[in-house]
Formats: sequence, C-alpha cells, structure tokens
Amino acid sequence: MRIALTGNPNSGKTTLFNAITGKIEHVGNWPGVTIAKKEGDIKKSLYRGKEIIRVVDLPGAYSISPFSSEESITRNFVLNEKPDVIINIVDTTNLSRSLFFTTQLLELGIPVVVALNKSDLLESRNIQINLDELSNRLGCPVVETSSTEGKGLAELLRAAADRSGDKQTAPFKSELFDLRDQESIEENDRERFVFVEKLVDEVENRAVASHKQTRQDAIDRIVANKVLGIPIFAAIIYVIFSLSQTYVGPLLADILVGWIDSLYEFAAGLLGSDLSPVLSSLFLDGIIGGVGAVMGFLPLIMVLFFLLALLEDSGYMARVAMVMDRYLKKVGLSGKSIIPMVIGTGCAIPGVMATRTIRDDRQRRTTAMLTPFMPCGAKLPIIALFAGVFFGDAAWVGTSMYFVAIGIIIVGALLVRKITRDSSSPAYFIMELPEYRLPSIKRALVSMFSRAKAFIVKAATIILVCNAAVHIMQTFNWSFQVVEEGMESTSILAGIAGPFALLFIPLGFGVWQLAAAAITGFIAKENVVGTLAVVYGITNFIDTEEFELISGAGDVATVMGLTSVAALAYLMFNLFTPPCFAAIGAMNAEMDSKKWLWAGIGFQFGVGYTVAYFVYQAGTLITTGSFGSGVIPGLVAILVFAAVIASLIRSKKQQSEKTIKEAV
Amino acid sequence: MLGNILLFLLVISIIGVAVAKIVSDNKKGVKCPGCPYSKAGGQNCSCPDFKE
Repeated sequence: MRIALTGNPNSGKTTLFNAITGKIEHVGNWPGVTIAKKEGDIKKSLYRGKEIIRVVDLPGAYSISPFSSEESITRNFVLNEKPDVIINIVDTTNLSRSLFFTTQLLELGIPVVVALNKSDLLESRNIQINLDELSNRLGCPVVETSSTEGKGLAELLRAAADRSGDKQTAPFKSELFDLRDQESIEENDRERFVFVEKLVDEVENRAVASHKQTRQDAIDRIVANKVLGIPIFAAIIYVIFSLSQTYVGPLLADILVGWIDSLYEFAAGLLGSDLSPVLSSLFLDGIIGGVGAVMGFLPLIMVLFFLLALLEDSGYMARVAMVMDRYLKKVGLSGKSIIPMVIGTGCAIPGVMATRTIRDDRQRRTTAMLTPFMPCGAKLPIIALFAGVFFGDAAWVGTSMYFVAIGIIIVGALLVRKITRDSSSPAYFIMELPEYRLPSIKRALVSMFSRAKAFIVKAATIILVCNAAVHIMQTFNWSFQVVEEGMESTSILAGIAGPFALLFIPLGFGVWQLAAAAITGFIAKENVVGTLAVVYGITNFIDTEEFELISGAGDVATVMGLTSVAALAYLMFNLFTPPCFAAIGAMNAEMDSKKWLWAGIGFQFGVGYTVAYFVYQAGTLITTGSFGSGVIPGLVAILVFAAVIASLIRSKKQQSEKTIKEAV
Repeated sequence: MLGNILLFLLVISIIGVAVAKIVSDNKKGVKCPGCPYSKAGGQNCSCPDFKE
C-alpha cells in the first residue's frame, strides 16, 4: 500500500515522514526545504498490520494547481500515480489556509485522512477545534498529531490503513470551468475560500488578538530590519564560528586526534622497520595519516552543523532570506534565489537542485551558477585548517568567507544581468515566515550525526582513494622508480601539478604541492586538506598536547612556506573556484544548457583567480611595501578575463540594438 | 617477505573496499558517496516539463 503525505509548506510533512519511517531526511523550520519526493517504509513499531506500507513525502503545496515546480511534483504524483491513501497534513494553527488544499484533495476521489499536525501548540494558542464536526463536514477521518512529539502517529496510520479502497466524497465540488480562463479560476478559488471560511467558523474557536504586536513581531522588527538585519546575521555567524572553531570544537577535536595518533603509532609499531618502506609509508602516511588529517576536523564540523541546525530549527533562516531578498532583487535575481544559497551552506548539491523552484530560466541558471560560491560543509575543513594555522583560530576568517561569497554573488548576478541584457522585472518573493520556536536539541543532534556520517563515508571512500593515489604518485617518478628523499619534485605528482603551479605564482602559491591539493579539491573539497597532509607528510593538524587547535601552527605554516597573505589567497582560491564534480553535475542538470554550464565554470575559475590575485598582491603590498611575484602576468590573465566579460556585454548590446533596428 | 605480502594485501583490500563502495554507489546513481542529495541529475528531476 502506498500513502502520499501532502500539505502546505512548513506544515511538518518531512518531520512526520522521519517519525513514521525512521529516516533522517533534512527538515527545517521554514517553507521550501523539501524539493523532491522521498519514499520510505513505515516502522513496524507504529503499524503491526501484515501489509507493508510505503510512504511518499511530497514537497509542500498550497494548491493542486501548480504554481511552482515543487507543487507540480505533488500534483503529478497525486494525479498520475494514484496513491492508495492521501494523508493530508494540516497545520492546526492555520486551519483556514490549509483546508483550501484539503478540499481540492478530497475532490480527487482518493481516500484522504487529515492529520491535524502541530496539535501540541493548540493549548498555548488558545485554539479549540471540534474534531468530530470537522471530520463529518470533510467526510474523512481527522486525527490530531504532533510529529515533533510523536503524538497520534499510530492512530493516524491505522486510520490510513483502514481507509484503503474506500470511496471519497467531496464536501465542496468545483463547477466545471475553463482552465485557460484566469477569471474562471479566480472565481472558483473565491467560492472555495468562502466554503473553507464558513467551515472553519463552525469547527474552530480561537482567541483572536490580531491588533496586538506579538513577541514574534517585536523580534522580527529587529532581526529582519533592513539596516540591522545584516550586522545581526554577521554577528550570529561569528558566534557560531567562534564556538565551533575556537572554543568547543578544538576541545573535542583534540580527543579524536589523540585516538588517530594512537592508531598511527600502534600501526607503526605493528609494522616495525623490516617491511618495505614504500608499502609502510603508503599505509601509514597515505591512508591513516591522510584520512586521519581530514577526520581530525570532524568534531569542529559537527559543532558547526549542530549550531546551524539549531539556527535553522529556530525559524531564523527564513528571516535571513527576507533580509537578503532586497539586495538580490536589485541585481536581477529572484527573491527565491536566496533559498538555494542558504541550503548551499550545507552542501552545494541540494543548493543547486533547489534552484529548480525558480521559474525564469535566466534567474534559475544564474542562481545555479552562483550558489556554489557559498562555503559548503566540505569547504569547512579548509577554512578551519587555514584559520588555525595562519590566523590563530580567528573566527573572522570563516565569517568573512560567507560575506565575501555574498559579495561575489551580488557582483556576479549584476554581470550576468548585463551580459544577458535582461530587463524583466524580478519576480516578487513571497515567503511565509515560520513562527520562532525553541530549537530542538534532539533534531539538531540527529541532523549533526547524519552529516557526520556523510563526512565519515566520504573520508573512507573518495578521500581515502585520492590520498592513496596522491601518495603513490608522489612516491614514484615517471620511470616508476621510487623517488629519493628530497627529490619529490621529480615525482609523477609534481610532474602533473608543476605546470599548474606556474599559473599560481601571481597568487602567491606557485608550488606543486599546493597546486596538487587544489586540483584534488575538485574531486571533493575535503581532499585539499588530505592532500596537503600527504604531500607535506603532516599527519596531525591538531596538537594533542594542548587543548588548542593547531598549537603547532608555526611548524605547519613553516612546512608549507606560505605567508599569511598567500595563505588567505590560497584559501579563497579553493573556496571560490568551481565546486566539486558532483556539484558541477547538479549544475549541469539544473541549468539544462551546455553553454550556460561552461560559461558558469569559466566564470567561477575567473572569479576564484581574480579574488586570490587581488588578496595576495594587495596584501603583499600592504605588508611588505612591494608587490608579490608574478604581478604582471597575473594582471594580464585578469585583464583577459575582464575583456571576455566586456566583449560578451558589448556583443549582447549590439545584438539587442540590431534587433530593435530591425523591428523599427 | 610474508609481512610485505600481508601488508600489500591489506592496503589493496582497504583501497578495494573503498573503490567498490564508490562504484556500487555510482551504479545506484550516487555521484559522490556520503554527499547528501548526491543523486542530483536530470533523471532525478521530476519536473523537466515545468522549466520555461
């Protein structure tokens, strides 16, 4: 039996889906988190029937007539795949809005069970709902649930299982009208609203105090203020980075790194000195050392993800979207563009996928191109490493990366708008602001462990294989002979990365080791840290002696031979050049245009190179009084990049002028 | 000698398991093991007709 979970955005569908299937799908206290359908089987503890029940979690929809792509997924599934039962999740605190969709679902003839979700909030809101009356009027069972507290779930599933095969009657039937006629549609919607309002009046009793400013309104006046909004966001991100990378994270990291060190020493002792040094080194430095160096950052990332999950659960992220909307709209992006960017802070892939909710092709493609600039979870170990080694764990490093990314996105959107000469007015961004709530520690822990698991799987697969490959390529030369100590520059790895290193001289990191790390970063960004560990023979970026992140910072920095300015340039290059291949695959799928994809990748390379160049050359000029090496060749490269953009803008301008003349 | 063979087998098996996991995930449509939503791709998008 197949049950579809449907309902308005942010009504708690995915939380309910996770509670009844035991899955850990991403949830957030803001609308639009779910962009694709997800399936799972119901837990045996909730339903003891013989039949296996498969549940399909669908993206939120306000209406069966699709307005956005998520709504079309819901509509297509319900209409074409005909589930046995529909569980309609209704936000009990917003009955009148939710029942509009319910009445449409009831017209389909598929048996419906209504879950009055968030019922735990009824008492505090002083709302009473007559369940029996509502059930009678709708012609389907109505069950009170609370997906966050696990209340009413077994009852809901029993009701759904019992309804399979039943016929469904509709309390409100739309009259036949012309779907191409906007007026007929609006007239039909008005009639439905009248029906729903009357129904709600009869079954709901609530204390209304709409004239009164609530505590939520008071908070929004400050955090969503057009002047204070961004400084508050910056302060929150700063606190999060301070806690995760300066205070709490390193304490936990030190313990884990101690274990990894012990494992390394245990393995080294077990192998002894009689075995082949090549094999021993591959096992110890390539596999244990390389993977261990990346894993050492796991606690820092876990703390960061935990804090971000708390922030997301509180309802604050929707306010960030609202604050950013006014800036994005000015540069020709859809207000909806901010959602993929917020999601992209976790991982660029779902961020890019979330762009499919944007209807306009140009805006969707531009957003898919710019979203990977936001520092994702995979880039955090690089930030943590460089902030620790070169900047004494300063929280401003991580915080500023987010704001540099926002700056790049705004400039990038402006350039794309000029290149495409798009004059269409940006779509209005309408987003329901969820109520603030005390974030759930349990949900944040679940989110944190789920992401930690993903990090470990990645470290044990892609990063392990890459580190082993890097180590082998560094051990052998092109004649497949073992390179002698101190002669690593003759290795296969140096041979491949060397030519790229030349391009990086104007950026301050023109050595093959750093070039190799940057290249492996395109497979997975965490590889930058793993490769640096392998090529420099550093197995531990976090000292076990002191409870402080990278207390041996001086040593690591010396081994890398970078100045602080060059280190910052290297960090920015890795952050703002194209994302990993998997994210590029997602860009390809969402852009649906090879021209846009290659232009996007070229733009990302150009931006990463330009930002790193200016950081290094300007920083070196300020700190030493003269430019760094390669200032002229680097400038030439950047001028070529600028010239390409300028010629694209000019050619588009000429093209549009020609079109106008022809039209005249 | 035996020690070297055992170590070689250990290294090969560790790398082999990792590669096998990557390949098996790839066959299931997962482009990047461990990445959330790593099945990103055109075939996973159920709304191609929607794009204007």
